[in-house]
Order: sequence, then C-alpha cells, then structure tokens
Amino acid sequence: MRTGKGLGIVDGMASGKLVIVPSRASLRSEAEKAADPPHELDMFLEARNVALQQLRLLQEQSAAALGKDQAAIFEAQAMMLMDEDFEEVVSSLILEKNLSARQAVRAGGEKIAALFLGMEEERMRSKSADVLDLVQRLYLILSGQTETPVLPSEAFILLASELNPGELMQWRSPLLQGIVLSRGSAHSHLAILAAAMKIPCIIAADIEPDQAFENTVLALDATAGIFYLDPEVKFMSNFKQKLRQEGSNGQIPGDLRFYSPQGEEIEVLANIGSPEELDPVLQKNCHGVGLFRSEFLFMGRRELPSEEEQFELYRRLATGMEGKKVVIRTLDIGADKDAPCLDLTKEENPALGNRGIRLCLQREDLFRTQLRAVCRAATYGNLMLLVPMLISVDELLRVKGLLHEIQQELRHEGLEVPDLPLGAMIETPASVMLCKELSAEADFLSIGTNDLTQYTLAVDRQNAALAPFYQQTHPAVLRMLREVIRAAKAEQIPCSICGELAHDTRHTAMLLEMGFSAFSMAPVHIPGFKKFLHEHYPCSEPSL
Amino acid sequence: MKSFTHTIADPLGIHARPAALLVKTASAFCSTIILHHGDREISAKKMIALMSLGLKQGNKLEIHIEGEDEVQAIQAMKKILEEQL
Repeated sequence: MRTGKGLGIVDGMASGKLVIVPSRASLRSEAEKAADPPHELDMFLEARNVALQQLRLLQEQSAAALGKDQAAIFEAQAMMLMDEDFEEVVSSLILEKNLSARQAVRAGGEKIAALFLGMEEERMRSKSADVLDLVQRLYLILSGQTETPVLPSEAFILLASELNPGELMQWRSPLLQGIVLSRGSAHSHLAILAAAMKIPCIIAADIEPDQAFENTVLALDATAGIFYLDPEVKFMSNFKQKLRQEGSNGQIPGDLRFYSPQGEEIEVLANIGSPEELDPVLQKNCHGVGLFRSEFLFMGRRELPSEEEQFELYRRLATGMEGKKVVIRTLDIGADKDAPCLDLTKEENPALGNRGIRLCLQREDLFRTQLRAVCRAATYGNLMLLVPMLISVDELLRVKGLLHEIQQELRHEGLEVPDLPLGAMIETPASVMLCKELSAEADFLSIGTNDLTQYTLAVDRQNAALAPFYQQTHPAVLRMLREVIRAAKAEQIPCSICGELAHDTRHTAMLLEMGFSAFSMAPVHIPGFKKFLHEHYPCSEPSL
Repeated sequence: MKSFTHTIADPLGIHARPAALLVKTASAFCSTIILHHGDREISAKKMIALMSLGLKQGNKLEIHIEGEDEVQAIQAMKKILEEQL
C-alpha cells in the first residue's frame, strides 16, 4: 500500500478502481501550412458547429442533472466559441498566414488565453482555462478524435493531471466515486462541478496519472486529504465500513445526547444564513442555532430592511427553533459585500475595513432598527445577540448601553421585553488579548476561528496560493483558543466555536480536552459530526 | 443615440453567468451597443471582449446604444445590468 496526500476540495470518502485520464493531447505546435485556405476555413466553421452542438448537449445535461449555475459554465464557453472576435482571429490566421484550421485554432485560442492570463485578477486569469478547453475541443474535432470514453462497469475513481468541466461531464456515471488530480485548482470550474455532483475530490495529489495505475484500487479520504493506493484487504474492509457509516444509512438519531470525557454535554449547533435553512430535521438534530448571519437581509437590495421585516424574520427563527437557542449575530458586513442599501464606500482592503460592529456603531440608526427588532422578537423564543469584529471592551459596552436604552424604550411603549444575553465574538487578535475583560462584560463568547486564523497569521483566506499558510491549528491560534476558554471558564460563561475548525473531527478530541463543548457548524456537517461523536464518546437517550 | 451609466455592484465583478446573459440580451437587438470603460470601448455582443474588460465591483460602465430598436434595447440592458451586475 502506498499513502499519499493532496488538497481536498470536495469532502467525502470514496473507493474504487483507478481510471487514468491521459494528459491533454499535447497540441502539436509546428506550423502546418494549408494548401487550400478557403477549405481550411470551411473546416474550422464546420468544427465550430460540431463543438457548439457538444456544448449545447453538455449544457442541457448539466442543467438537468446539476442546475442552472453549473450549466452556465458551458453556456459561457459556447458564447466564447461563437464570438466574432474569435472567428476573426482564427480566419485571419488561416487566410493571411496560411495556417491549417487546427493550427489557427490553437494559435488564435492561445492568443486570447494569454490576454486573460495577463489580467491582474486571479479569477479572470482562470478564464484562460475556458478558452484553452475550447481550443482542445476544436483541435480534437479537427483531428478526427471525438470518441467518448468507455465508462467502466464497476466503481471507479478518476486520476488525471488536470480535468476540464467537459471531460468530467463525459465521465459522469453513478459509478464515478472520486477524483484525484495531480495538478488542478480549487477555484476552477471543475471544482464547482465536482462539488455540485458531490464527488469527493483532491487536487495537488502526489501521484502522477501513470497508465501503470490503471485498475489499481484506491481509497480516498478527501476530507482528510489522504489517499491509499493498492490498500491491503484488511485496511479496505475497515475503510469500507467507515464509508458506509459516512453514507446516509448510518443516520444517528437526532435527539441522542453526547458527553465529553469531562462529563459535559457536547452541544452541536448550526450556522445558518437565512430562515429557509431552518427545517424540522435541523430543528431536531441540533441544540440550536449557534450563528445566524443577519447580513443576507441587507444584501443585494437598495432599501434597508424595516424594523417590521426584521422582526418578522427573527420571530420566525425564534418560534421555528421551539425554545432552543438562536444566536443572532448583528450585521457583519463590509465593503466586500454587495449591499447597495448600505451605500458603503469602496475600500482597497475590506477585510481590515469599516465592517462589523465598527460600521454599526457609526450608523446607529441602522443598528437601532436591528436591535429593536431582535428585542421585540425575543419574547417568542430563546434569542441571543452576538457582536462581531470587536477590538475593544468599549465597543461591547457601547452596544450594551444602546441595548439597555432600547429595552427601556420598548418597555415605555408597553411591550414585554425579556432579557437578551449579549455575546462577544472573538475573531480578532485584540479581542483575544482582551478576553478576560470581555468575559467579565459579556454573557457568552463565540470564537470565529476562520477570521481569527486569517487575522492572526496575516493570511488572506481567499487567496488560494496561501492555502498552505492558512492553518486553523497553527500553534499561535491554538494558544489563543486556550486563553479564551480559560477566561470564559473563570467567569463561568459559555464559549462556543464557530468556524471551519468546529466540524473538523480531526481536532475535536483536542478541543474537548481544552474545555470546549459547543461546536457550531454548517447544517451539512452536522450528521457527520454526530456520527463521529457517536463512535468516540459516551451518549445517552433523551430524557423524555 | 441613447446612453446611460452603470456601476458594477456584484462583488464578484463580471463572471460567466451574468456575462453570458448580458451578451445574449445585447445580441437580441439590431442596435449597436457599445460599452465604454476607461479608455476602452467594446461591443456588448462580444463575449471575449466583454470578459477581457475584467470588470470589478465598483467599476463604472457607460453604455451607448444606437439603432432602430434603441428604446427597447436600453430598457433591456438596464434591466439586465441592474439585476445581474
């Protein structure tokens, strides 16, 4: 057995026999002269029609199987294909430079791809991959190589250096279990498609698509970023058992309770961004909502949401969770979000800009409306308020003051106003350094590990090139987590973890040992996380 | 000739799906539809040229439309830009 690593871009486990996808036909670049340029031009136009039909078909298939957004990848490619500029470039290469159709396609396409590659934004540069996909498609048609792959009749995993979206669609089959790429990019269209198809995938894997591996068994744990080539029988039966547990058949009853080695009940909470994500299953499966991102209320609209609109929404959340807690994070938005109603000034560096609580304290009118709506909705359930992006105790005190004022105001209006626990979100290094003081003032803490990691390590988490530096378990971050939980325990207030680290079961034992017992994660991770708890920690039936 | 300006609001700037919609919308009219951005001007009916502008959130576009169906074209272009970009 050989073990190797890669970067997981679609989580999950899989096993199957390897199918090697040969590297892209290296397109021959020697100049082929055309004996009859007008004929070559006709060939190009004909090949373009064939390519268009292929893309239309891919568009239909992906729309039906995956959805409109995925189909848009092929629609955009089809439009590039039919673009006048592309035709112009290629036909002038044929007619004026006497190139053969396929060489004109290659040269013209590479010219356009180079144009995208030269652009400053990483995302725009990836457009060059779309153009090169088109070039390859046309080149193969013009070379008479258009056969589609023969799909295997047993479970298989694709191994390639790179794969384009069109190629992946050709391999689509219920038997396709996983994808291993020796190169690849986390921000490619392929990544989007694989995620939509829910096929576990790793990139940058340390294995080359060598024909010798064809039909070799591979076990893939994309969540952990590990693969096992040609595993022993015993290992495989173990792996398959885990695989089964991961599948939907091993559902853990929603109301089972789990306990940490210290005997504390482990809370599993949900991070959600809109009330639509609340469903009866989720309601039953978790201890509450650990993080409700209120931003979406403000996104993509020109008018601010009214107090009534917000009240209605928070009330729905409170009643929907039937008394379980719902932590509402106050507006956490900056210039990187599309919220025309806030009329934010464009910033060069929005991650360090006017965002979160800074913005709210500056725009008190806006903040008051949100606080009033939450206070009013609090009578319908168990609401809590969480303040993001804190860097000082003063900010928390100002929110507290404002909240008291509003509660008074509402009481004067004759409304019943229950207590509303106020929490501090710990996501800046400053808030960690001040965690003792913050714990003394707050009713609870919640650590946003994604931002805390980014701000502590000075690593932009959206920059794929920095992925190896973005370590949620960097010793500096772990020391911070320890400090924070210690401060929370000293003040006897709860402290939860939200952020990607919360559902990463490789670190759960360590976090429990530190003293954490509340983990808030995207609903999609809850079943897997509970399965992990079920395997490793004591549980008890609910006391009915 | 008709013209208007639009500021890109989509945080992702111009990407595959809205670009495709924009080109499709523009191509449905016989009027010439020209997008001005900085010192560049391109036809809104050309996908590659549109993508090559590399529009980002906050970028300003000036749209000039001229032709028989410019009245309908301007409405359609405004709508698609407002909704998608």
